[in-house]
Amino acid sequence: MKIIHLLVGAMLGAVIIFNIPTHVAAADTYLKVTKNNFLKTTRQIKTYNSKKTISMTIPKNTVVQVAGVTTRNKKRYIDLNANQLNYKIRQPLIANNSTTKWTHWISTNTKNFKRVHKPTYLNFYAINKSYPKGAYRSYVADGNLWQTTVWPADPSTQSAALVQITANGYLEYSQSVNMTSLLAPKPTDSLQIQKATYSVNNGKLDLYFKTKPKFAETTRINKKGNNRYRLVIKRLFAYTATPITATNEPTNISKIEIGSRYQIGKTNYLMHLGTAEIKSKY
Amino acid sequence: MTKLTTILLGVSASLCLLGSTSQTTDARATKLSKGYINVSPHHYYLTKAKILTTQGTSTKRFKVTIPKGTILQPGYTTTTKRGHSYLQVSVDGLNYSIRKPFLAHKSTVSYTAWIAAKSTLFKRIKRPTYLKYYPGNHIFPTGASRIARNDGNLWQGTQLPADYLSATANRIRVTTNGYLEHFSKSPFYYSISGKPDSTTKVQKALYFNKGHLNLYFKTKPKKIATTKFHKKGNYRYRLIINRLYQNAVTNISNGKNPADPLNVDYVMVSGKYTVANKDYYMTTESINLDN
Repeated sequence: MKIIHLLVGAMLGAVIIFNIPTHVAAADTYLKVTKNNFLKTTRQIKTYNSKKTISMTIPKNTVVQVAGVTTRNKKRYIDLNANQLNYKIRQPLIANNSTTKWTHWISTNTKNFKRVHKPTYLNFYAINKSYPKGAYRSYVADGNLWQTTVWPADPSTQSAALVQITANGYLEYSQSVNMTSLLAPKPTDSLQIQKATYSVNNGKLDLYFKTKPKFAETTRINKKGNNRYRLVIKRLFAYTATPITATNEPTNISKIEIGSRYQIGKTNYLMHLGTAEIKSKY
Repeated sequence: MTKLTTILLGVSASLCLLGSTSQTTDARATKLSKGYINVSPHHYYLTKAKILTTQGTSTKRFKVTIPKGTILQPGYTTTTKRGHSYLQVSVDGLNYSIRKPFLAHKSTVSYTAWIAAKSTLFKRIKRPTYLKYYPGNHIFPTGASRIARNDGNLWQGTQLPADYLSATANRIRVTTNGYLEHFSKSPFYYSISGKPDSTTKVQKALYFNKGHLNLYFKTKPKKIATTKFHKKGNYRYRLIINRLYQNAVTNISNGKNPADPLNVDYVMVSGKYTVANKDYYMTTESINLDN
């Protein structure tokens, strides 16, 4: 009898001992995310720009694209590119002349985020592409569509109309934006995407809106509901190359800037895909 | 552990052979049999005896002779399980008298049959000085979407024309066995160089840093401006090839995309040279964009 009592006591003790740590661990889980993963905020997040000089708020249910990751004290943190969020969220950085587009580090605690798939409305370009070492190429595609046909040799002196699809699903249009601007200014059109479909075969991204985008041709397809207007972004699978001369060497091309062509309605747009460095000696 | 490494190396070497034709056969993969030498498409070899081989189809075979003392570069190499190494010579790299049978028989291939890489036939040598006007073995990594093209051909002009697939231009080059050849109106797109309108044996070559190569000849090369250097001896005429270390780019549109002059399918890079103070260029690489 005594032995049975002892056994029961030991089992109870074991249950209590093993229960405590599991309970504590459940309180703190961090998502092991990597660059370009997509997450959705599960509560409102208050953060800053990376220099911690300007505060900003990311509402609950905002889809974000991870820009960078870091691990500190076994906890995973991410930062975001504020330019990939709609104007309402990035506005404090613009208003306070932020010198950076990156947010401060945000904990990937499951209280903050949950994982989501890459949204369909971003399927019009490849997000995860990189080149091996020794390729002397970079890939910078950011989803920004500029109303032009060829990437300029001197983008810092050029302005063009800009169409952006933010990670959190807004279509934004600005009439004139400097092509190297850090953060896109207040858009003339900012509309939430209600639905998106993408065809890999013909490169057509169909976006549906409740209110009519003013800047481009749309098709009225429904009188009621959320999907009243349809806008088509067509990827042409056509590319442009801009030769860039080396500094102080007007007869020597040291790199090419590569653009990927798109059409919205009948208007030509271009995304800057990246750079191929051309060395005179490898 | 050593055994495992050997097996792994063997597997990777055979995969290389399957995947790409110009990969180096790893010497450590298979132990070579006695009398065979390690061969690679990146290296240069001197023939120690006259080599007689054949090429062509079973109904139309033709003889190919490579004289003793020829410096050549293998187009392809392989090593059998028994440790026998073989090579195929890219004949376009050799002077006209050697590649002539290929042209006469309108051969569709530009390399010889497999030749046993025996130490009695071949000896590995350093890259000859007269080829130092261009880099030898640069390769971009897989996934770079760009290909190194340095093939030794110098075309007259400042850069590759956009319609190069159907165009021609004057071309000079030095063969691996040391002949300066000139071709008037050579097509850019060819498999074996035709009959040159000038072919002259290089007697001596001096390479200076900064891309200067001086070539010396006993007889005056036709069609190419040289300077008289000596009145007697082997070094009577001198040609200076100067690599400028500058690039020009040509956007190529192959018409696959909608007829729009802006669309570019790939970019060809021309490395600039001067030959006897005239503008020449070499196609150094091509860069793909649709990736």
